[in-house]
Amino acid sequence: MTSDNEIIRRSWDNPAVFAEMYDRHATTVYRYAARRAGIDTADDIMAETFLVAFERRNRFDSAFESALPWLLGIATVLIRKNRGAEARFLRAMVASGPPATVVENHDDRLDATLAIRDMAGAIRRLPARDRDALLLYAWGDLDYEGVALALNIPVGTVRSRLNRARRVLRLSAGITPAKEVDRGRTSTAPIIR
Amino acid sequence: MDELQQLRSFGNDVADPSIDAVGRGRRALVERIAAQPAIARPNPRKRIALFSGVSALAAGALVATLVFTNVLGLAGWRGGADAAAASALSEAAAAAIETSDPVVGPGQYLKVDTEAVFSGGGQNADWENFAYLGTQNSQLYIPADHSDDWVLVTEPRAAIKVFGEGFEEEAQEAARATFDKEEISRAPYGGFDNSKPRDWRLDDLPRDPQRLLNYVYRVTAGHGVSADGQAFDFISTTLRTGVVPAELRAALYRAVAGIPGVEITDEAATLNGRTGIAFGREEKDGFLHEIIIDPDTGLLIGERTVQLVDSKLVPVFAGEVTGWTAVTTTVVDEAPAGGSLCGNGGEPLNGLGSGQCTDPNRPRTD
Repeated sequence: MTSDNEIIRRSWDNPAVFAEMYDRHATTVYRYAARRAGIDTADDIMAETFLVAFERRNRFDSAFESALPWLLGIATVLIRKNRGAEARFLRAMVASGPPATVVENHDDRLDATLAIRDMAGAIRRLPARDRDALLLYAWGDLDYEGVALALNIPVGTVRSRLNRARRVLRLSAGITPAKEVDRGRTSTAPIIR
Repeated sequence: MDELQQLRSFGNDVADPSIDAVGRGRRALVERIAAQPAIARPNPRKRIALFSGVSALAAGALVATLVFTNVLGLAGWRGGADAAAASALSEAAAAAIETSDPVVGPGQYLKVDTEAVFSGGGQNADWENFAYLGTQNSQLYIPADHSDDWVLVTEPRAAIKVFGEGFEEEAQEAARATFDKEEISRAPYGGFDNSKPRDWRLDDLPRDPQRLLNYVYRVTAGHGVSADGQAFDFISTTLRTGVVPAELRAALYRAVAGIPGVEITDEAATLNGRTGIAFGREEKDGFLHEIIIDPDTGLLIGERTVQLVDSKLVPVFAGEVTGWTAVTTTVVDEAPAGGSLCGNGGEPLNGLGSGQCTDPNRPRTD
């Protein structure tokens, strides 16, 4: 199959071929957005992501074959702009747990459901930049390099943001750190950006 | 369960978007695209119809209303390749069957040497567009026993042609970004980068050319610029893996003969020092897509893409070859030593579920 970067490169001259990006990645973008901001907002994020991507198609760094980190990066910016929706979604989760439709009715999941309520609170209080890195990694299923591309930051920065965010989550979910000793202060204070 | 696994478990089964939402989003995109004047102007000498954005949707609708099978499908409905191309493809297929495949003995490797050039582009800090042709060469060693280590050598990349003056540095940097060293990866079953075993699923492909072409139309329906173009793309992508056995290669050549719009585009096309016949199809995306076959042996030499319109953003003009892949398959006794599952020094993300590799020390070039 022709790689994403080739198609985007071709779309410089022939915009119509860009529709292929939608066919390939719309579902993944939707699922990421749905997990972050709920399914109502996800429809719009999905559609808007590709409109923005299309307008910026000649800024895509075509040395990278997959366009997914770039697209999820755009979706992340849109979710951030729509901060209200994400905050509402997280608050609802803290109040009543994750929506029943997205969690299997399964004993193993019960613990997770309880923990996710605690986590949702912690995620909401994370600085936006740490939250973006964490959720691109966990829910966008990108690797460090993918997160770096999506957020346009160096890989080292991704690592430190993820470490920080995971430490906060561990504390919130009551997971005792296996080895790591917490040094210095943990930033659980809300930081509004 | 650690905190990441817990986080990942949440929403693992979040539903896919509704068909309605997907359709709405796609329509919005297609409308936006249509509102944008095409950047390229068709070259009057090679006039081609510009893709309207509707045909892929139409193909999608076709999938919804027609039941495809390998027996009953699109193949042959609207004719096929032009007569000269069909006859040359048939001869190439016959030659392919006569030429026996190399046999990989115990302890030996099938070596697939791929020399590829792709076209890249970007913007510099001043928002100026540039384009280049970059290399993407690799050698894959497949052991006789697939449970042994497969070895993949990825060469450093480089820009070999830059379009426009003054962008050499940017182009080199863009081409090399994260691919500036030779990388050796090894993994049983070809599961490089902690991925699933490599499987080209060639066994799924019917060996009867008509059924094969129906199969190809069926699995590619709804994608790409046109059904015929996508079928051609599927076949050339399959061929360029370099691992297609002679009998299937012959069937694929005969299937190409059933694709409308395919013609002989170059009687003597040279790629990487080997000369063969180019069979090509002018696609509505503004490119001529070709496969090049050695008529004497029926071996695939490679594939090539030629731009048919002048770019407006960058000085790339109609007739420019904007990409090619040359594939050579041989049997060798040894594979390079060294490397790891994830290439030089990269490590698998240990059981955290992403199934990917990371190299924490890999520098970024931004």
